[in-house]
Amino acid sequence: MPSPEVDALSPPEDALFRCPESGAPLTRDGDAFVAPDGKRWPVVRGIPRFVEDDQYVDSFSFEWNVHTSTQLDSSNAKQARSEDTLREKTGLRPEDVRGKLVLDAGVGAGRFSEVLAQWGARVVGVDLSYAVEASHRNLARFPHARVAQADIFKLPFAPETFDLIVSIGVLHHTPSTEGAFRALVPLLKPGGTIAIWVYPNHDDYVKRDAWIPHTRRIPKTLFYRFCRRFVTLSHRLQRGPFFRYVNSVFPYSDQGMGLENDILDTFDGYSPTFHGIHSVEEVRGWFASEGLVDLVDYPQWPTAVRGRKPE
Amino acid sequence: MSEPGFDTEGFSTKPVHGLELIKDWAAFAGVGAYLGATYGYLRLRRKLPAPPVNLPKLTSWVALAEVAKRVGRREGRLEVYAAEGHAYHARGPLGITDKEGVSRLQVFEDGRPLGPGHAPHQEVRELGGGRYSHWGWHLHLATPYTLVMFSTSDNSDPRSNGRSYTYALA
Repeated sequence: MPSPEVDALSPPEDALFRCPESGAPLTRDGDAFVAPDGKRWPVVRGIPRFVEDDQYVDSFSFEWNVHTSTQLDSSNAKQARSEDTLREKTGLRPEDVRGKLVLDAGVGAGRFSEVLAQWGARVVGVDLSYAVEASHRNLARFPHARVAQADIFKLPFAPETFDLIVSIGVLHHTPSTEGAFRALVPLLKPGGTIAIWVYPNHDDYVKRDAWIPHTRRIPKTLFYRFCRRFVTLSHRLQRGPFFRYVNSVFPYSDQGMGLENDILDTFDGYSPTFHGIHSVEEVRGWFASEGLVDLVDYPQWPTAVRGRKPE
Repeated sequence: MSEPGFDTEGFSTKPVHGLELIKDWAAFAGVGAYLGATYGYLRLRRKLPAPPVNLPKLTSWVALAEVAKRVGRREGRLEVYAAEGHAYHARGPLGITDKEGVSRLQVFEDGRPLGPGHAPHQEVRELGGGRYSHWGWHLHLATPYTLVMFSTSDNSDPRSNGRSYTYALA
């Protein structure tokens, strides 16, 4: 549970939000944010909505509203895998984020925002998908965390708003990984840090890249049913030659985090509309061309890169 | 703007039973077939790497299958793979003894028995005339076999004389 010190953090205020179309400040009017030109952005079930719908990410809307807590550390008493993953892919520690205003770009069900909030960050999580329904519920116990549904290319924030931006496993699911990254950088305060991880262009990610144009055509509920049976079978028969062979051509999840996680992760791996894969040089190049400095990458996760915006 | 929302259509992470389980297996079969066909297409287009093949393991499975096939086989064709004078080498069945007076292997030319069997190897090579012999355990691609050395009745080449050469266990 958060400490009293963390509980005392102020929530990210309404004034943070800007009109994603004009960039103008918004005023709160009942269940909506209103732009000076009269454009209204509704607040539905406590979540500000800056998009009409979930556009190209319906698979994520589905998976995070079925697996609302599968990957949350608070739901896995024995393991803190999300915290470990956050540490490994960003190099961040609690002291790096305490009291900072953090944007979690692609919040999903809130697995990393939960860790950041626990560490004492003031967190704003955004997601284009209806995963915000799940993350809003999962983060409700943190007054210093809030969630909005928004498009990463048109985020509802003023430039230089955040001390830290994290985006782990998200940007490659947009039409342009690089474009999405470049859309985030202006939101960073001078001296702020941005840490991302995107899919690398090797091994299983390359194989999935070949599959996805075909698997994403399968209706998501049908494909989810398939994953549910396929992964259950693979757990029982994984030592047999057939599943070892299948795994070599159709890599499925076997992360040692339980059946539920592996069903989710297999579905997640093959159902998105977009699946970008990138080299470490490419990712470092984006950071360099945005003028970010003190770049750090992590041997275990080559396409995880962190950089700082100069003062 | 309409009120946004999302319906998971009743899916959850709970175990499924009954009709839901049947629907799952139906989806498994249908999607599995589609993915199988897609795999074939992706392999043809070389968008997926060739599957890894464990050669030693594969070879031993093939060898075992071959052994199982040959042990106890009572008759079969003799396929010549080497020649030495009038003698021709072929692979015979397993599990028989080559001891004279005990051996049950006979060699036939167009169904007629050749002989004599258990002829000295040098005689088979130099005299031919239907003499034959067989002996031992040999290995070919990790597959054991009995070597049959035989000659034809008129010392013609069995690979081109148009006759068939077979063995049978008496």
